[in-house]
Amino acid sequence: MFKIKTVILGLMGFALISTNSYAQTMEQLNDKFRQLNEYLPTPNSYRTASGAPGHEYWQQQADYKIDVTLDDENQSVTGSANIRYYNNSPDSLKYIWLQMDQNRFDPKTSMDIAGETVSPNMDGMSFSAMRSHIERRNFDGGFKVSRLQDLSGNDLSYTVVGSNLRIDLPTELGPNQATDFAIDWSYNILDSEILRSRQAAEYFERDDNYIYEIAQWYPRVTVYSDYEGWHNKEYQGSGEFTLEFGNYDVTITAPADHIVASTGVLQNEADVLTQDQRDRLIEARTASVPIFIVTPEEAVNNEKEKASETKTWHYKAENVRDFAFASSRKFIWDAMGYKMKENGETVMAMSYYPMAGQPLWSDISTQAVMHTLQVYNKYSMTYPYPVAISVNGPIGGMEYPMISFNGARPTTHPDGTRTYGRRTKHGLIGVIIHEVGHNYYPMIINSDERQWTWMDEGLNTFVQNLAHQEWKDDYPLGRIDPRNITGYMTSTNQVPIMSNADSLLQKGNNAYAKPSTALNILRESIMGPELFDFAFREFAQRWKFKRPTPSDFFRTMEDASGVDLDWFWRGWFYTTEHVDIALDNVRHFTINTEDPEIEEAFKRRQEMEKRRHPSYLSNDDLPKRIDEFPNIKDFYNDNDEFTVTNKQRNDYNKLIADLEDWQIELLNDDSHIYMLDFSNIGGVIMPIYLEIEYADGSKEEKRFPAEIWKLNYKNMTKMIVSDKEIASVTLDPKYETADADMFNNFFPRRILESRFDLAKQRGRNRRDMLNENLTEVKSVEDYRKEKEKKDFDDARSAEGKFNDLVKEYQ
Amino acid sequence: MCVANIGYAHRYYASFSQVDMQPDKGTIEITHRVFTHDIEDLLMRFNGGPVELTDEKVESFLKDYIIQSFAIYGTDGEQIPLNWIGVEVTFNDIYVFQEAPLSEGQDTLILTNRILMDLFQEQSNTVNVKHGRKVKSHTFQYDSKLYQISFSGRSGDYPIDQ
Repeated sequence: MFKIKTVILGLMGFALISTNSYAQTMEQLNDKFRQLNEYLPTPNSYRTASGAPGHEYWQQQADYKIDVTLDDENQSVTGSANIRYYNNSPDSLKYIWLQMDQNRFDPKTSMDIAGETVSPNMDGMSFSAMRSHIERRNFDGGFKVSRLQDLSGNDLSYTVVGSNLRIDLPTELGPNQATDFAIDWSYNILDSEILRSRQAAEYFERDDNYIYEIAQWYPRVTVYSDYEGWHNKEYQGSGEFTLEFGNYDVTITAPADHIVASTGVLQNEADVLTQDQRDRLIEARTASVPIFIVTPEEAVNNEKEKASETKTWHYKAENVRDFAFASSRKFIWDAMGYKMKENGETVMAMSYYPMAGQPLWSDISTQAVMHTLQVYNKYSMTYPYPVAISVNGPIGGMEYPMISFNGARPTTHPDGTRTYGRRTKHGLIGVIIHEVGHNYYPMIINSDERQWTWMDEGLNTFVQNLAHQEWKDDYPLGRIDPRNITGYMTSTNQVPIMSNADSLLQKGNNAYAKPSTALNILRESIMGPELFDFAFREFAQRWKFKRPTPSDFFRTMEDASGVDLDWFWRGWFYTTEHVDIALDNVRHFTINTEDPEIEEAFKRRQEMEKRRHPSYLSNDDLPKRIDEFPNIKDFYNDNDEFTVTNKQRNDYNKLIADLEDWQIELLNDDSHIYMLDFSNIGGVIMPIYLEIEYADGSKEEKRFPAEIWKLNYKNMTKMIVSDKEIASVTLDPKYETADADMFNNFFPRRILESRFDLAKQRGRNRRDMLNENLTEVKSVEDYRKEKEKKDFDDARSAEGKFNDLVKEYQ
Repeated sequence: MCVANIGYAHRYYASFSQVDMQPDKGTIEITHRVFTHDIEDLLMRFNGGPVELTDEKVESFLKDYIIQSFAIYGTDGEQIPLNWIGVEVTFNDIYVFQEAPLSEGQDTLILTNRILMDLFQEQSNTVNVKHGRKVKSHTFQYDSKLYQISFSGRSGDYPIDQ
C-alpha cells in the first residue's frame, strides 16, 4: 500500500476531508453532466441531431411588391401590396396569418396596452409615464385595412386577432403551391416622444422638419415552421420579430426634397438623384475615404423650404427577411465602397444623418459600418448584401436588413454649436457595430426573436465586443467581462436565459450580458479561440438564410468542436444558479518512505513541533536530576520513543526485498503532495484555474477542465504532486469564470479588498488626478527662471528693506 | 429638447445595487452600479445643457441625487442615515458607495430605489441584499415604492404600504 503522511493539516473549519462518498439517487438526477435530453427536441429529417438543417429542411417564402406613400403633413403611411406566398412545407394550408405589428399601437386591440399591469400598492407615477399612458390610449394607431383581395379582385374573408390577421383561403394551398393576394392599408406614425418603439418620427422644432424611420410598416406574412406551425404569438412590444425570407420590389413616394434611405438597391437613380449625386456615388464606390453624396451644405439648404411635389424612389432587395426605410429632407449622405477580401465583391457602406449628427457622424459612421463587415465576415459569413447603411434619427438603436437606425449624436448647445464627449463617440461606434452586426444575427441567421431574445442579442453582443477589440486596443470589455455579471447571477429574482422573450426580467442582463459573457468564457477559457471560432462559424454557415433554434446552436457548437458542453448550457442557459467555487483547504503531505530511519525522525520532528507550551521552554535551563545523579539513567533516557529498533530495520529490509525497482524509486521520491479541497457553493460547475506560488517565489498556472466535478458536483479534492513547496494557491486568478465570491478563492485566506473597501480608502486620501493633470507642465528651465526671478525679487526686497532701515536711522 | 432625449442602442434601463449586511463588521455596505451614459443624460437634464463628465462633477451631483432616490429603513420605519463613501467612474459604469451602521441583531431592511425613474419609465432597479451567505433580490419598477427584505425567518419579503 502506497501511503502518504500529513505535514500540515489545513485549518479551514468547513473543509470536507472525505469526498468519495457514493452517489445518491438524487445526486444522479442532479448530475451536472447528464445530456440535455429532456430539453432538446427529438431530431428529425428537418433538423438533425448534429445541429444542422436536415435533408428535408424547408421554409416558406413570401415575395412583396409594394407601393408606399409617406405623408409628411400628417405623419402617416399609405401602402398597397401584392404578396406572393410560396408553400414549401409538406402541409396543406387552409389559412394564412399576417403580422399586423402596428396594431400594437391600436388601443382597441393592443394586447401590449391591455396586458399592462401596475403593482398593487402603486400610488403615483411620473408625468412622462402618465402622459405616455394616456396618449397611447388616445393615439389613433394600428393598421387600417381598406382592401384584401385575390388578384382577380375578389374579396378574401379575414379576421383580425390583435396583432395578427387570418386570411381564409377559398381553396387549400397545397405543398409546393403559391398564392397571391393584394392588400391596401394605412396607419399613423407614432411620435417618438410618446413611446420608445422600433420605428418613429422625430420632430425638429428649429426648422419644423421630421426624420422618419419607418419599420413594421406593411402587413408581413407570419412564419410557418417545422417546429411551431404558425408563429402567431401576439406582438407585445418586448419580443421582436419572427420572419420569412423573400424578395422585395418597393416604390416609396415621399416629398420631392426628401432623401430616402432604404433596404435594397436603388433602381431609378436618374429619377431621384441629381447628376452630381450620381457622379459622386460612382466615385464613392472605389474611394479610399467616405464621399459626400449629399453634402452638409446641400442638406442645410434642403431643410429650408418644403417641396409640394413628390418623388418616387424604387428599391429592390433580394432574399431579405424584412424591409425598412428612412426619409427626411435633413439628411446628409456619405458613402464608400467596401471591397470584401473574402470574395472581392464591393458593398456600399453608407450613412444618412442630419447636421445635428455632425461633426461626429461623417467621421465615424461609415467607417464603423465597414469595420463591422470586416470583423463579422471573419466570425460568421461573408456579407451577402450589396449595401450596408447606418441612419441617425429618433431610434436609439434598431436593426433591419441592410439598414440600421442609430441614435447617438453630439449635443447641440443653445448657441447652435455642437460638442461630444468620448463616451458619445464610443457609444456611437458601439451602437453602429451592434446594429449593423444584427445583419448577421438575426437578419441572415434567421433566429426566432419573438421566442428567444438571446439568440440574436447574445450572439451579436458577443461578436460586437470582438469587433471592439479590433477597433483599438484598449476598448473596455464591458458587457462580456465575467466580473460584471456576478451581481446579476447571484440575484434571486432571475429567470433562465432560456425563457420566452416577453417574460424576461432584467432583459439587458438576461439576453445581452449573460449569454455574451457565457460565449466569451467559452471562447477565451473553456474551448479556446481555435475550437470555438470553428464551431461558431460553422453554426453561421449551416444556418445562414435558414431558421435555427437554440437546440441547433447548442448541438452545432458541440458537434463541430468535439467538446461536450451540455453541462455548460445547462448551468448557464437553463438555470439561474451562479458560479461560486471555494478553495476550502490545501493539505500538505509527503511520501511515506517506509524507511524507519527517515520516518521515525520525521515523527520526532512532528512531535517536537507540537511542544510549544511555555513549560517545555521556560524550564529547560533548570538543572536536571538525571544530570546530578547519572546512575539513574537507562536505555530510555538515551532513546526516545522514535528511536529506530532493529525489528523495524528488518521489517523495512524485508519490505524492500519484496518490492520491484520502480516501487522502491517511488518510495524514495521526495515530492510534496497537496490535497486541494474545493466546494461548489454557487451551483454552476466551472473549470478550475489555479495560480500556484511556490515557497521559492516562482509561480505556475494549472488549468483543469470542468469534468473535474464529474463524480461529485458539490465537493471534490484535487491532488497536486510537486517537487517544490507551495506557499499559496489562488483559484481563478484572472477572473475568467464569473466567480461571484472571490473571498474563498485564496489559500491561505487573504484579506481581499472589495471595490467598496478600495473606495473607502480612496475617500481617505483622495487625489484628483484630473485636476492635477490640468496644471501646466513646467520644464526645469521654467523652474530655474522662476528661481532666478524669486532670487532677484528677494534681493530687491531685501535691498528695499535695507534702504528703508537706513532711511529710518538717518 | 429632442436632443438630450436621444438614447443609445438597446438601453437596458436598469441599475444594480448590492446591500451587504455585515454583522461581524457591524456595517451595511452599499454599492450602486449605474450606467455612465444614463448619468450623463441625467446630468444634462438637471443642468439644462451639455456637461463634461468629470469625476468631481459626477460625485457632487450624485451625492444629492442618490440621497433623494435611494433609502433604507429599519422595521420601526426610521430611515437609516447613509454615510457617503464616494464614486468610481469607469467607461461603462459608475459605482456609488454608501455605508451605514448595522444594529446588533438587525436582519430586516425596508428599501426604496427610484434611481433614474424620473428619467426613464422603463427603468428597473434590482437590489441584492446580502446577509452572511444569503442573498435576496428585489427589482423596483417605476410604480413600486417600499419593499421589505428579511432574513429573520419570522418575517417575510413584501411591499410595504406607505
